[in-house]
Amino acid sequence: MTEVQQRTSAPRCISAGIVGFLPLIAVALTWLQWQDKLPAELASHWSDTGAPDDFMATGTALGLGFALTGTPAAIALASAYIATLRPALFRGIVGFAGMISGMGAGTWLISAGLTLQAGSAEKAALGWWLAALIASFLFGAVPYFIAPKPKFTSGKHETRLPLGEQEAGAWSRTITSKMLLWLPVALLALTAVIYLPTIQDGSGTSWIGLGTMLACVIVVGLIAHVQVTVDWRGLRIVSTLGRIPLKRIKLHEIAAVEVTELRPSEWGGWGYRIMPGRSAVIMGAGPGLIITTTADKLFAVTVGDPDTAASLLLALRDRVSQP
Amino acid sequence: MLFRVDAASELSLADQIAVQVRSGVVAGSLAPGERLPPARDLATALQVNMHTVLRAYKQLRDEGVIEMRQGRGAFVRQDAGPGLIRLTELAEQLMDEARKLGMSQQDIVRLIGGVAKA
Repeated sequence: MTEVQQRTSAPRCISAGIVGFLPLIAVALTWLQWQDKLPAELASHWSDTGAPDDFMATGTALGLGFALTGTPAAIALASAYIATLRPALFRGIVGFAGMISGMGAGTWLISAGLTLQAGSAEKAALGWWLAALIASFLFGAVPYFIAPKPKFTSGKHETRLPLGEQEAGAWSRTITSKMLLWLPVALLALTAVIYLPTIQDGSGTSWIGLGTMLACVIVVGLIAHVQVTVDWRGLRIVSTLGRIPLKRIKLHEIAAVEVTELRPSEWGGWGYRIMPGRSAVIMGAGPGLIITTTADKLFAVTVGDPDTAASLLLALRDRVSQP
Repeated sequence: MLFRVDAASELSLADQIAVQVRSGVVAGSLAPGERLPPARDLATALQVNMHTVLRAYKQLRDEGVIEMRQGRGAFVRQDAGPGLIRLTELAEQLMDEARKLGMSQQDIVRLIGGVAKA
Protein backbone atom coordinates (compact mmCIF):
# COMPACT_ATOMS: atom_id res chain seq x y z
CA MET A 1 0.00 0.00 0.00
CA THR A 2 2.68 2.49 1.02
CA GLU A 3 4.92 1.50 -1.91
CA VAL A 4 2.10 2.03 -4.40
CA GLN A 5 1.40 5.46 -2.92
CA GLN A 6 5.07 6.41 -3.17
CA ARG A 7 5.36 5.27 -6.80
CA THR A 8 2.20 7.06 -7.89
CA SER A 9 2.95 10.28 -6.05
CA ALA A 10 6.59 10.59 -7.17
CA PRO A 11 5.80 12.24 -10.55
CA ARG A 12 3.55 14.76 -8.83
CA CYS A 13 6.29 15.59 -6.31
CA ILE A 14 8.80 16.18 -9.09
CA SER A 15 6.23 18.14 -11.12
CA ALA A 16 5.52 20.36 -8.12
CA GLY A 17 9.25 21.02 -7.81
CA ILE A 18 9.71 21.73 -11.53
CA VAL A 19 6.65 24.02 -11.79
CA GLY A 20 8.33 26.17 -9.16
CA PHE A 21 10.84 27.23 -11.85
CA LEU A 22 8.15 28.89 -14.03
CA PRO A 23 8.64 32.34 -12.41
CA LEU A 24 12.41 32.04 -13.04
CA ILE A 25 11.74 31.15 -16.69
CA ALA A 26 9.34 34.10 -16.96
CA VAL A 27 12.04 36.46 -15.67
CA ALA A 28 14.65 34.96 -18.04
CA LEU A 29 12.41 35.07 -21.14
CA THR A 30 11.23 38.64 -20.55
CA TRP A 31 14.79 39.78 -19.98
CA LEU A 32 15.88 38.16 -23.27
CA GLN A 33 12.94 39.84 -25.00
CA TRP A 34 13.35 43.28 -23.41
CA GLN A 35 17.09 43.57 -22.74
CA ASP A 36 17.81 45.92 -25.67
CA LYS A 37 14.80 48.14 -24.95
CA LEU A 38 15.08 48.57 -21.18
CA PRO A 39 16.53 51.83 -19.83
CA ALA A 40 19.38 51.86 -17.29
CA GLU A 41 16.94 52.37 -14.40
CA LEU A 42 13.59 50.85 -13.51
CA ALA A 43 10.84 52.15 -11.23
CA SER A 44 11.09 50.04 -8.09
CA HIS A 45 8.81 51.75 -5.57
CA TRP A 46 5.62 53.76 -5.82
CA SER A 47 3.96 56.32 -3.57
CA ASP A 48 0.32 56.03 -2.50
CA THR A 49 -0.65 58.16 -5.53
CA GLY A 50 0.76 55.46 -7.82
CA ALA A 51 3.67 57.64 -9.06
CA PRO A 52 7.17 56.09 -8.83
CA ASP A 53 9.24 57.46 -5.94
CA ASP A 54 12.28 55.17 -5.99
CA PHE A 55 14.38 53.63 -8.73
CA MET A 56 16.83 50.76 -9.18
CA ALA A 57 19.51 49.93 -11.73
CA THR A 58 18.13 47.47 -14.29
CA GLY A 59 20.96 45.02 -13.60
CA THR A 60 20.25 45.04 -9.87
CA ALA A 61 16.51 44.53 -10.45
CA LEU A 62 17.28 41.64 -12.78
CA GLY A 63 19.69 40.09 -10.25
CA LEU A 64 17.04 40.39 -7.55
CA GLY A 65 14.48 38.86 -9.89
CA PHE A 66 16.71 35.86 -10.57
CA ALA A 67 17.63 35.46 -6.89
CA LEU A 68 14.03 35.70 -5.65
CA THR A 69 12.74 33.22 -8.23
CA GLY A 70 15.70 30.83 -8.53
CA THR A 71 16.59 30.30 -4.86
CA PRO A 72 13.12 29.26 -3.61
CA ALA A 73 12.58 27.09 -6.70
CA ALA A 74 15.88 25.28 -6.12
CA ILE A 75 15.06 24.76 -2.42
CA ALA A 76 11.60 23.45 -3.32
CA LEU A 77 12.99 21.00 -5.85
CA ALA A 78 15.72 19.85 -3.44
CA SER A 79 13.08 19.22 -0.77
CA ALA A 80 11.42 16.62 -3.03
CA TYR A 81 13.61 13.99 -1.38
CA ILE A 82 11.57 14.33 1.82
CA ALA A 83 8.27 14.30 -0.08
CA THR A 84 7.42 10.68 0.67
CA LEU A 85 8.69 10.85 4.24
CA ARG A 86 7.12 14.19 5.20
CA PRO A 87 4.51 14.97 2.52
CA ALA A 88 2.81 17.74 4.49
CA LEU A 89 6.12 19.54 5.06
CA PHE A 90 7.03 19.16 1.38
CA ARG A 91 3.69 20.63 0.35
CA GLY A 92 4.22 23.56 2.68
CA ILE A 93 7.73 24.16 1.33
CA VAL A 94 6.73 24.14 -2.35
CA GLY A 95 3.72 26.36 -1.59
CA PHE A 96 5.77 28.91 0.34
CA ALA A 97 8.61 28.80 -2.20
CA GLY A 98 6.01 29.39 -4.94
CA MET A 99 4.71 32.45 -3.11
CA ILE A 100 8.21 33.96 -2.84
CA SER A 101 9.21 33.17 -6.42
CA GLY A 102 5.81 34.38 -7.71
CA MET A 103 6.33 37.66 -5.86
CA GLY A 104 9.91 37.88 -7.23
CA ALA A 105 8.75 37.40 -10.81
CA GLY A 106 5.78 39.73 -10.32
CA THR A 107 8.03 42.50 -9.01
CA TRP A 108 10.40 42.17 -11.97
CA LEU A 109 7.64 41.94 -14.58
CA ILE A 110 5.75 44.96 -13.24
CA SER A 111 8.89 47.02 -12.65
CA ALA A 112 10.39 46.30 -16.07
CA GLY A 113 7.10 46.05 -17.96
CA LEU A 114 5.70 49.36 -16.67
CA THR A 115 8.98 51.19 -17.26
CA LEU A 116 9.15 49.80 -20.78
CA GLN A 117 5.53 50.70 -21.50
CA ALA A 118 5.88 54.24 -20.13
CA GLY A 119 9.16 54.86 -21.94
CA SER A 120 11.06 55.88 -18.78
CA ALA A 121 11.22 54.95 -15.10
CA GLU A 122 9.91 58.38 -14.01
CA LYS A 123 6.68 57.96 -15.98
CA ALA A 124 5.93 54.34 -14.91
CA ALA A 125 2.71 54.79 -12.90
CA LEU A 126 1.59 51.74 -10.94
CA GLY A 127 -2.21 52.08 -11.07
CA TRP A 128 -4.15 48.84 -10.96
CA TRP A 129 -0.97 46.81 -11.47
CA LEU A 130 -0.69 46.87 -7.68
CA ALA A 131 -3.39 44.20 -7.65
CA ALA A 132 -1.30 42.09 -10.06
CA LEU A 133 1.70 42.46 -7.77
CA ILE A 134 -0.32 41.22 -4.79
CA ALA A 135 -1.85 38.43 -6.90
CA SER A 136 1.61 37.19 -7.88
CA PHE A 137 1.80 35.64 -4.39
CA LEU A 138 -1.01 33.32 -5.44
CA PHE A 139 1.39 31.45 -7.71
CA GLY A 140 2.28 29.48 -4.57
CA ALA A 141 -1.06 27.69 -4.92
CA VAL A 142 0.07 26.05 -8.19
CA PRO A 143 2.91 23.86 -6.82
CA TYR A 144 0.98 23.46 -3.56
CA PHE A 145 -1.95 21.76 -5.29
CA ILE A 146 0.27 19.80 -7.70
CA ALA A 147 2.12 18.27 -4.74
CA PRO A 148 0.35 15.10 -3.57
CA LYS A 149 -2.24 15.64 -0.89
CA PRO A 150 -0.76 14.21 2.29
CA LYS A 151 -2.61 11.59 4.26
CA PHE A 152 -2.80 12.63 7.87
CA THR A 153 -4.41 9.49 9.16
CA SER A 154 -2.89 6.06 8.72
CA GLY A 155 -5.03 3.91 10.94
CA LYS A 156 -7.87 3.76 13.41
CA HIS A 157 -7.84 3.31 17.13
CA GLU A 158 -10.02 0.28 17.80
CA THR A 159 -9.75 -0.24 21.57
CA ARG A 160 -12.79 0.67 23.64
CA LEU A 161 -12.63 1.39 27.35
CA PRO A 162 -14.86 -1.21 29.03
CA LEU A 163 -17.66 0.69 30.72
CA GLY A 164 -20.43 -0.85 32.80
CA GLU A 165 -24.05 -0.15 31.90
CA GLN A 166 -24.40 2.35 34.72
CA GLU A 167 -20.85 3.57 34.59
CA ALA A 168 -19.88 7.09 33.52
CA GLY A 169 -16.39 7.99 32.35
CA ALA A 170 -14.63 11.30 31.99
CA TRP A 171 -11.05 12.04 31.00
CA SER A 172 -9.42 15.38 31.52
CA ARG A 173 -5.94 16.70 30.94
CA THR A 174 -4.40 20.16 31.01
CA ILE A 175 -1.66 20.91 28.51
CA THR A 176 0.80 23.76 28.60
CA SER A 177 2.91 24.81 25.67
CA LYS A 178 6.13 26.29 26.99
CA MET A 179 6.71 28.03 23.70
CA LEU A 180 3.25 29.57 23.60
CA LEU A 181 3.59 30.50 27.27
CA TRP A 182 6.74 32.54 26.68
CA LEU A 183 5.52 34.17 23.48
CA PRO A 184 2.93 36.46 25.16
CA VAL A 185 5.51 37.34 27.82
CA ALA A 186 7.97 38.32 25.09
CA LEU A 187 5.23 40.22 23.21
CA LEU A 188 4.28 42.06 26.39
CA ALA A 189 7.91 43.01 27.01
CA LEU A 190 8.22 44.21 23.41
CA THR A 191 5.02 46.23 23.78
CA ALA A 192 6.38 47.86 26.94
CA VAL A 193 9.70 48.70 25.24
CA ILE A 194 7.94 50.25 22.24
CA TYR A 195 5.05 52.08 23.87
CA LEU A 196 6.03 52.95 27.47
CA PRO A 197 8.53 55.70 26.43
CA THR A 198 5.91 57.30 24.14
CA ILE A 199 3.32 57.25 26.94
CA GLN A 200 5.80 58.65 29.49
CA ASP A 201 7.12 61.52 27.37
CA GLY A 202 3.74 62.20 25.74
CA SER A 203 5.28 62.11 22.27
CA GLY A 204 2.19 60.56 20.73
CA THR A 205 1.20 56.97 21.30
CA SER A 206 -0.31 54.85 18.54
CA TRP A 207 -3.26 53.53 20.52
CA ILE A 208 -4.31 51.30 17.62
CA GLY A 209 -0.83 49.75 17.55
CA LEU A 210 -0.82 49.34 21.34
CA GLY A 211 -4.29 47.79 21.27
CA THR A 212 -3.27 45.39 18.51
CA MET A 213 -0.18 44.28 20.42
CA LEU A 214 -2.19 43.70 23.62
CA ALA A 215 -4.84 41.79 21.66
CA CYS A 216 -2.07 39.54 20.28
CA VAL A 217 -0.80 38.94 23.83
CA ILE A 218 -4.29 37.86 24.94
CA VAL A 219 -4.96 35.66 21.90
CA VAL A 220 -1.62 33.82 22.20
CA GLY A 221 -2.08 33.57 25.98
CA LEU A 222 -5.49 31.93 25.52
CA ILE A 223 -4.00 28.98 23.67
CA ALA A 224 -0.91 28.55 25.87
CA HIS A 225 -2.69 26.55 28.57
CA VAL A 226 -5.72 24.47 27.66
CA GLN A 227 -7.84 21.74 29.18
CA VAL A 228 -8.91 18.80 27.05
CA THR A 229 -11.94 16.84 28.26
CA VAL A 230 -13.61 13.70 26.97
CA ASP A 231 -17.01 12.85 28.41
CA TRP A 232 -20.63 12.14 27.45
CA ARG A 233 -20.68 15.41 25.51
CA GLY A 234 -17.72 14.45 23.31
CA LEU A 235 -14.35 16.17 23.10
CA ARG A 236 -14.00 19.71 24.37
CA ILE A 237 -11.03 22.03 24.57
CA VAL A 238 -11.20 25.13 26.72
CA SER A 239 -8.61 27.72 27.53
CA THR A 240 -7.90 27.65 31.24
CA LEU A 241 -7.63 31.45 31.01
CA GLY A 242 -11.23 32.55 31.42
CA ARG A 243 -12.59 29.07 30.55
CA ILE A 244 -13.07 30.18 26.95
CA PRO A 245 -14.21 27.27 24.73
CA LEU A 246 -11.90 26.64 21.78
CA LYS A 247 -13.23 23.44 20.24
CA ARG A 248 -16.07 21.00 20.69
CA ILE A 249 -16.79 17.78 18.80
CA LYS A 250 -19.97 15.97 19.80
CA LEU A 251 -19.93 12.18 20.11
CA HIS A 252 -22.27 11.60 17.18
CA GLU A 253 -19.97 13.69 14.96
CA ILE A 254 -17.03 11.33 15.47
CA ALA A 255 -16.38 8.88 12.65
CA ALA A 256 -12.91 7.62 13.67
CA VAL A 257 -10.12 8.32 16.11
CA GLU A 258 -6.40 7.77 15.67
CA VAL A 259 -3.59 7.95 18.21
CA THR A 260 -0.41 9.19 16.61
CA GLU A 261 2.66 11.41 16.89
CA LEU A 262 1.86 14.95 15.80
CA ARG A 263 4.38 17.36 14.31
CA PRO A 264 3.74 21.14 14.24
CA SER A 265 5.28 21.28 10.74
CA GLU A 266 2.47 19.07 9.42
CA TRP A 267 -0.32 21.01 11.06
CA GLY A 268 0.70 24.56 10.22
CA GLY A 269 2.70 25.33 13.36
CA TRP A 270 1.88 25.85 17.03
CA GLY A 271 -1.43 26.96 18.53
CA TYR A 272 -4.91 26.82 17.04
CA ARG A 273 -4.48 26.01 13.36
CA ILE A 274 -7.21 26.13 10.74
CA MET A 275 -6.54 24.72 7.27
CA PRO A 276 -8.79 23.53 4.45
CA GLY A 277 -10.51 20.37 5.65
CA ARG A 278 -8.64 20.17 8.93
CA SER A 279 -7.90 22.06 12.10
CA ALA A 280 -5.74 21.43 15.13
CA VAL A 281 -4.67 22.57 18.56
CA ILE A 282 -0.94 21.93 18.51
CA MET A 283 0.94 22.52 21.74
CA GLY A 284 4.21 21.00 20.50
CA ALA A 285 5.56 17.85 18.90
CA GLY A 286 4.38 14.69 20.60
CA PRO A 287 1.57 12.20 21.03
CA GLY A 288 -1.92 13.24 20.19
CA LEU A 289 -5.30 12.41 18.75
CA ILE A 290 -6.63 12.85 15.24
CA ILE A 291 -10.41 12.77 15.03
CA THR A 292 -12.14 12.23 11.71
CA THR A 293 -15.62 13.69 11.82
CA THR A 294 -18.66 12.39 10.01
CA ALA A 295 -18.32 15.45 7.73
CA ASP A 296 -14.89 14.04 6.73
CA LYS A 297 -12.97 16.83 8.48
CA LEU A 298 -9.88 16.21 10.57
CA PHE A 299 -9.14 17.65 13.99
CA ALA A 300 -5.85 17.02 15.78
CA VAL A 301 -4.79 17.83 19.32
CA THR A 302 -1.50 17.12 21.06
CA VAL A 303 -2.18 15.61 24.44
CA GLY A 304 -0.57 13.24 26.93
CA ASP A 305 -2.05 9.75 27.33
CA PRO A 306 -4.03 9.89 24.07
CA ASP A 307 -4.73 6.12 24.20
CA THR A 308 -7.03 6.47 27.21
CA ALA A 309 -8.77 9.48 25.68
CA ALA A 310 -9.30 7.65 22.39
CA SER A 311 -10.58 4.47 24.08
CA LEU A 312 -13.05 6.42 26.21
CA LEU A 313 -14.17 8.55 23.28
CA LEU A 314 -14.95 5.45 21.20
CA ALA A 315 -16.70 3.69 24.09
CA LEU A 316 -18.92 6.73 24.68
CA ARG A 317 -19.50 7.21 20.94
CA ASP A 318 -20.58 3.58 20.59
CA ARG A 319 -22.97 4.05 23.50
CA VAL A 320 -24.80 6.97 21.82
CA SER A 321 -24.76 5.35 18.38
CA GLN A 322 -26.47 2.21 19.65
CA PRO A 323 -30.12 2.11 18.59
CA MET B 1 -6.65 11.65 34.13
CA LEU B 2 -9.49 9.17 33.75
CA PHE B 3 -12.40 9.34 36.17
CA ARG B 4 -15.16 6.76 36.16
CA VAL B 5 -18.08 6.31 38.51
CA ASP B 6 -20.43 3.37 38.57
CA ALA B 7 -23.89 3.85 40.01
CA ALA B 8 -24.10 0.07 40.52
CA SER B 9 -21.00 0.01 42.77
CA GLU B 10 -21.22 -0.56 46.53
CA LEU B 11 -18.91 2.41 47.04
CA SER B 12 -20.46 5.84 47.12
CA LEU B 13 -19.84 8.06 44.08
CA ALA B 14 -17.68 10.42 46.17
CA ASP B 15 -15.59 7.50 47.44
CA GLN B 16 -15.11 6.23 43.90
CA ILE B 17 -13.78 9.63 42.80
CA ALA B 18 -11.50 9.84 45.86
CA VAL B 19 -10.13 6.32 45.23
CA GLN B 20 -9.26 7.24 41.66
CA VAL B 21 -7.42 10.40 42.67
CA ARG B 22 -5.45 8.43 45.25
CA SER B 23 -4.64 5.75 42.68
CA GLY B 24 -3.63 8.43 40.20
CA VAL B 25 -1.18 9.96 42.68
CA VAL B 26 0.34 6.57 43.53
CA ALA B 27 0.56 5.53 39.86
CA GLY B 28 2.16 8.84 38.96
CA SER B 29 -0.53 9.86 36.48
CA LEU B 30 -1.30 12.74 38.86
CA ALA B 31 1.92 14.56 39.67
CA PRO B 32 2.47 16.67 42.80
CA GLY B 33 1.26 20.21 42.10
CA GLU B 34 -1.08 19.08 39.32
CA ARG B 35 -4.46 20.72 39.22
CA LEU B 36 -7.57 18.58 39.46
CA PRO B 37 -10.53 19.42 37.22
CA PRO B 38 -12.78 22.08 38.73
CA ALA B 39 -15.54 20.39 40.78
CA ARG B 40 -18.29 21.86 38.62
CA ASP B 41 -16.62 20.63 35.40
CA LEU B 42 -15.99 17.13 36.75
CA ALA B 43 -19.52 16.87 38.10
CA THR B 44 -20.95 17.81 34.70
CA ALA B 45 -18.57 15.43 32.91
CA LEU B 46 -19.55 12.52 35.17
CA GLN B 47 -23.19 13.58 35.39
CA VAL B 48 -23.12 13.66 39.17
CA ASN B 49 -24.01 16.37 41.68
CA MET B 50 -21.29 18.97 42.24
CA HIS B 51 -21.52 18.36 46.00
CA THR B 52 -20.54 14.72 45.36
CA VAL B 53 -17.28 15.87 43.76
CA LEU B 54 -16.75 18.46 46.48
CA ARG B 55 -17.29 15.74 49.11
CA ALA B 56 -14.59 13.64 47.41
CA TYR B 57 -12.22 16.62 47.22
CA LYS B 58 -12.81 17.47 50.91
CA GLN B 59 -12.13 13.86 51.85
CA LEU B 60 -8.86 13.97 49.91
CA ARG B 61 -7.96 17.29 51.50
CA ASP B 62 -8.55 15.88 54.99
CA GLU B 63 -6.30 12.94 54.11
CA GLY B 64 -3.56 15.36 52.99
CA VAL B 65 -3.65 14.22 49.38
CA ILE B 66 -4.79 17.49 47.84
CA GLU B 67 -5.01 21.12 48.85
CA MET B 68 -7.82 23.50 48.00
CA ARG B 69 -6.69 26.97 47.03
CA GLN B 70 -9.28 29.71 47.38
CA GLY B 71 -10.57 30.62 43.94
CA ARG B 72 -7.96 28.53 42.14
CA GLY B 73 -9.20 24.99 42.57
CA ALA B 74 -7.79 21.74 43.92
CA PHE B 75 -4.15 20.70 43.52
CA VAL B 76 -2.25 17.55 44.38
CA ARG B 77 -0.08 18.31 47.41
CA GLN B 78 3.66 18.34 46.87
CA ASP B 79 4.11 15.82 49.70
CA ALA B 80 1.20 13.60 48.66
CA GLY B 81 3.27 10.90 47.00
CA PRO B 82 5.30 9.06 49.67
CA GLY B 83 2.50 8.76 52.24
CA LEU B 84 0.12 7.32 49.71
CA ILE B 85 2.71 4.88 48.42
CA ARG B 86 3.17 3.62 52.02
CA LEU B 87 -0.60 3.32 52.33
CA THR B 88 -0.73 1.40 49.07
CA GLU B 89 1.92 -1.01 50.33
CA LEU B 90 -0.14 -1.59 53.45
CA ALA B 91 -3.24 -2.13 51.30
CA GLU B 92 -1.37 -4.69 49.21
CA GLN B 93 -0.30 -6.51 52.37
CA LEU B 94 -3.93 -6.46 53.54
CA MET B 95 -5.07 -7.89 50.19
CA ASP B 96 -2.45 -10.66 50.35
CA GLU B 97 -3.45 -11.65 53.88
CA ALA B 98 -7.16 -11.53 53.01
CA ARG B 99 -6.66 -13.73 49.94
CA LYS B 100 -4.81 -16.26 52.09
CA LEU B 101 -7.92 -16.40 54.28
CA GLY B 102 -10.07 -16.91 51.18
CA MET B 103 -11.85 -13.54 51.46
CA SER B 104 -13.43 -11.99 48.37
CA GLN B 105 -12.97 -8.35 47.33
CA GLN B 106 -16.47 -7.56 48.60
CA ASP B 107 -15.62 -9.12 51.97
CA ILE B 108 -12.54 -6.89 52.20
CA VAL B 109 -14.55 -3.78 51.34
CA ARG B 110 -17.11 -4.77 53.99
CA LEU B 111 -14.30 -5.36 56.51
CA ILE B 112 -12.76 -1.95 55.87
CA GLY B 113 -16.19 -0.34 56.04
CA GLY B 114 -16.75 -1.96 59.41
CA VAL B 115 -13.37 -0.78 60.72
CA ALA B 116 -14.07 2.74 59.49
CA LYS B 117 -17.40 2.82 61.33
CA ALA B 118 -15.90 1.47 64.55
